[in-house]
Amino acid sequence: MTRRISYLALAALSFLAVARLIDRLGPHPQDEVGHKLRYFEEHRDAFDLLAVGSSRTFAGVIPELLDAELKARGTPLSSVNLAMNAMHTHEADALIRRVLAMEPARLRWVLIELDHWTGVIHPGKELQPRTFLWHDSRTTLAAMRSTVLYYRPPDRRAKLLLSHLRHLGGEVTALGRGPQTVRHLWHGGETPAYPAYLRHDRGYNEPGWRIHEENFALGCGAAAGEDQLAFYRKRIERLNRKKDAAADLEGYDVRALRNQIEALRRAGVVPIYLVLPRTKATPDFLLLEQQGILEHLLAFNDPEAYPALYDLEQRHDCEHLNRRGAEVLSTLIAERLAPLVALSGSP
Amino acid sequence: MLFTQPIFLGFFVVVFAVAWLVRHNTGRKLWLLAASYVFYAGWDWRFLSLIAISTLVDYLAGLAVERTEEAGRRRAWLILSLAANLGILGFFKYYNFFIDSAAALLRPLGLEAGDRALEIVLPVGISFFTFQSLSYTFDIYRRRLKPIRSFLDFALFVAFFPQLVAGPIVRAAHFLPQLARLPQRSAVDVRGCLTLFLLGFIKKSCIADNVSPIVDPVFADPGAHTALAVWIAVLFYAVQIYCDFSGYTDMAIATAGLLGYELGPNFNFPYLASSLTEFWRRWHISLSSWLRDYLYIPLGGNRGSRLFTYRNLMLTMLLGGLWHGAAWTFVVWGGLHGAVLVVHREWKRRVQLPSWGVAGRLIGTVATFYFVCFAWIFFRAQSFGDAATLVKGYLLLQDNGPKTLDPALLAAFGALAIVHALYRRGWPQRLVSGLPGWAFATGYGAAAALALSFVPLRAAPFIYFQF
Repeated sequence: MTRRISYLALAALSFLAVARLIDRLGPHPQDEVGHKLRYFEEHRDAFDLLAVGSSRTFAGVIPELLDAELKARGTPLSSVNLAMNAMHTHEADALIRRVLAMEPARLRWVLIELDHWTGVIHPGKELQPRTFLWHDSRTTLAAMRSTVLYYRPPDRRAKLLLSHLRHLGGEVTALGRGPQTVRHLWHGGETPAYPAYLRHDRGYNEPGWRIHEENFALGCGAAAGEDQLAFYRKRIERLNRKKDAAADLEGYDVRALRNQIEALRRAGVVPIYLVLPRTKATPDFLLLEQQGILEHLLAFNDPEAYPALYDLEQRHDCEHLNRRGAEVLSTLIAERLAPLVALSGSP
Repeated sequence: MLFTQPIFLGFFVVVFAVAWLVRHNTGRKLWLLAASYVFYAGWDWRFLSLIAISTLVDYLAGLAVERTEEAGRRRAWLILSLAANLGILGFFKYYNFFIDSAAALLRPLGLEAGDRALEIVLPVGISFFTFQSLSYTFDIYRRRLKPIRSFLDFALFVAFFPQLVAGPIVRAAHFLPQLARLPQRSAVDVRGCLTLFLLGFIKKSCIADNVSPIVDPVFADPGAHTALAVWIAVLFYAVQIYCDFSGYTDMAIATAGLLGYELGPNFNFPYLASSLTEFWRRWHISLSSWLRDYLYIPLGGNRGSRLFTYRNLMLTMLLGGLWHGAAWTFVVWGGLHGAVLVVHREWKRRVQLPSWGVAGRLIGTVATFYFVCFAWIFFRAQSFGDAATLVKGYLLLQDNGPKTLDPALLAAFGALAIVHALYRRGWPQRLVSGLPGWAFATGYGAAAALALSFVPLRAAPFIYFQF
């Protein structure tokens, strides 16, 4: 019996050793988030500020413009946009930790899109390498905790928890990483070219002009055939009504947020939380700032305070800005950021 | 629940542990039966009723056939068993096929059949467990087997989870005696079973699933691909279907072996066959022997004239094709094999050629493989139109479109063929059995990790699950 147990242990050890070796020898995943990680790793000492978040940030923050505006205000910084479509809070958190592990010499500021921590996995990204990538043991445990406490609807929690465990298993076992590791080694470590938004725009992605009004508001739940613009305007009215509503933090995973802030502070990096000009009211986010849980919050989901960001001419759709809107937003961020940077004496 | 899913690992560890802890044969069999029903219920619990019906009918029919000597009554009980099993199979698998075919026949006559199609869910494994259960009653009717008194044993024979959903189709005479005694731990070749399971996993998840993205686009749109692309895709489909199906079988045999039961081989390096007759002795052995024993021989086999024999051979292959799927392309696939088998038999009868030794065998192997790949076109194609386009490309008669595949893929094909041939010579098996325990454990862990790293994130479904 002892011999069988020791053989089992040997098999498990050699299994893990080979899996880790494949992971170590292989390149970053050849997908959207992998490209950004690789890009940052190759330029890790070039940036003072990075932006992280979902497609709203991906399409909303123009590093080149942000840098120019900050320089014009006497606080020059070099920034990069590591946001990606469908990047939820736990994935963003895992990305930030990987970035910090690279020990970037200049990094002092991180713009993080603030959202709820629910452990959700985007349905379209379940089988993508990036989802396995963020399921390291630490992030998986945190995501599972958020799922148990905050994910809605409750009857789907078990399925999501199993999904987290499957992804953790896939990450630990380097599932599917063999072919790209072989290709990577065969080509002497060569990696494919970066996509255009990394080659030219330091991670910013221009979503394209709004094609036509019929599909404008489909992103926020309007039915096809419904009057899209009327739907959008109703969303704005509701946002104006609810933005200052009374709120509590019962549905918010404050512990996860505190852990993130602490990790950044330990690394000497200042987190600045961002609420993009979305059509959803987030009074609980304002409460996080009021209660001192987070120090810096730039909330732009206020049509009355920032009408330009909700003007149709600046929007790609219900949730995203177009290039013109991103220019307005990046300028506004620079306006709010410059005093903070000046006060800190950075970069 | 698939053998390649992590949940199966958890399921099997529990089943295995309890099965070997229970040292009472009846208790062990009850546990395995419960586990088998849980395994099947994981697909769709409603279809457990079909397994239950098939089990009950054949158990009772077997006892009833044995109890009477009157030929008419014996036949009646056999017909009941046939009706129950083939009725279940016919309804769930072939109802819409027959309705659509009848409508297609009536349409040229100006008669409309109306929309009588039903939305029928095909129960997983139905073609396998109905045939398996049916063979029991047949063997009793032919006085080759005594009926089993133990309902538990028979129920486990029908529902045993390693072979329940995709075979091998196990014979009662082979399996039931194994249930009569408690398996001994010392008799289990653990190392061999574990190696076989890993090999099956590699075949299915690393080879078949990685080949699928090469094959699928060509078969989905053959008109857009060059003749070279079609040729490569057909070759790789041959690899895919073999690795998919034999991989699953390997895992099934290994799983049963770890529980102390032997299922029998289902594949014997079929692509090394030097004739089509030999191919059918090596491919899906459990089905081809089933068709031989319960269809070809009852039809008359080769006990009549030549034409009579050829008729029986064609009927068997046509129905064998239909067994694979409710579509005329499968029937044509079976018919092609039947036609070539007939031609081969007639050729051997008429032409007495001297043996060409190794060269002759090589020519035969290449020719057989070429034909088998040709026939796979009809097996895989979505329609006869697609099949025709693919055939033109495969026979290099026509370049259909601009999309092509990298000829370097043929190097991968070549490598697989070499490994296949080496395995046929048994060297990996000898290597594994000669290793000290610690070396086997270390190597196995490393090989498993390597295999998992080659599993694509998006796995293809098992091809034979649709049958």
